[in-house]
Amino acid sequence: MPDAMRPATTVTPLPPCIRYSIRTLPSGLALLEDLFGESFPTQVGQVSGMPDRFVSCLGPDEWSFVAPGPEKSRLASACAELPEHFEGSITDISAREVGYLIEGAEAATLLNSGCPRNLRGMPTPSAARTVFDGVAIGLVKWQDDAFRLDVWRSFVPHIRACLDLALNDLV
Amino acid sequence: MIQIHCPYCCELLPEQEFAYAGEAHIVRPEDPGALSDEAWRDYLFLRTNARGPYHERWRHVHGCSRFFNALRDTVSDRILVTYRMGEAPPAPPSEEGGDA
Repeated sequence: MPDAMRPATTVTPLPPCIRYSIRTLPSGLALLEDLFGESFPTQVGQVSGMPDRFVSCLGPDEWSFVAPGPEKSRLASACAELPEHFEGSITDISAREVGYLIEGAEAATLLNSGCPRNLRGMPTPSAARTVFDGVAIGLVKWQDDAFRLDVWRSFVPHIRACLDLALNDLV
Repeated sequence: MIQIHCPYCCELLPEQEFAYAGEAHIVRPEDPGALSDEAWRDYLFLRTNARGPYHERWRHVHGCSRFFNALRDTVSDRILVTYRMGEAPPAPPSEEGGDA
C-alpha cells in the first residue's frame, strides 16, 4: 500500500473519565454487576462493555471500571449505598491516570516500541496491565487497530515523548 | 527475551513484566525470639544457590501483581514450571525437562 493511502496512526488524549479500582471476592461480584450495570469477567485479561464504559479484569480479585465523566455523582451515591455485607473495596482513581486512544493500522507497532507484549496476538477485546518503557500502563485492545492506554499522570510527559518519537519512526 | 508463564493470567508473557523475589518455600520460624543468633542468621541470609533446578518466587508486578513460584534451571536459565502460591513444589526433573 502506498504511504499516502495508508491510514495514519494517531495518538489522541481521551477526555477525563471515572476510574474505579475494585478489589473483591467472587461473592461480591453480583452486587457490583447490579451497581455498575456491567458484567464482571472472571478471567484475567477479559474485558466487557463499550470503549467509553467498561470493566476489565486485571487480576484474580482485581477489576478496573471506567465510565464517562458525567456519571461521577450518580456512581458515587450508588457506591455509598452498598450493603454492609459487601466484601471488597472500591477506590476512586479517576484523577490518577490519563487515557490515550491509539488508532491506526500501525497502532500495535507503535505500542510495541515500548511494550514487550505480543500485541498483535492479544485477543480482541482484551485488557492488561503491562509495562511501557519501564512504566506501568493499562492497555485495552478494542480492535486490531484501536488501543486504549492509561498511564499515571506523572509519567505522561515520558510516555508522550516515547510515543511521539516512535510515531516519527513509523513515517 | 525470556517468556514466563504466569499461573494466574494463564499466559506466556515477557520477562519485563516480572520481578524476581528470591528463593521459594522458606518458612518463617514460628517464634523468632526463641532462635539462636546463628539460626536466625541462617533463616535471613542463607540460601541454597543451587546449580540446576531451583525453586524461586517471582512476582507478575506489571500484570496481575501476584506472587507465584517457579522452578528454574539456573544453568540453562529455563523456567521448567510455574505454579500458584500454596501449591506443592514439583520435584526437580531427573534429566533435561521441557518448558512449562
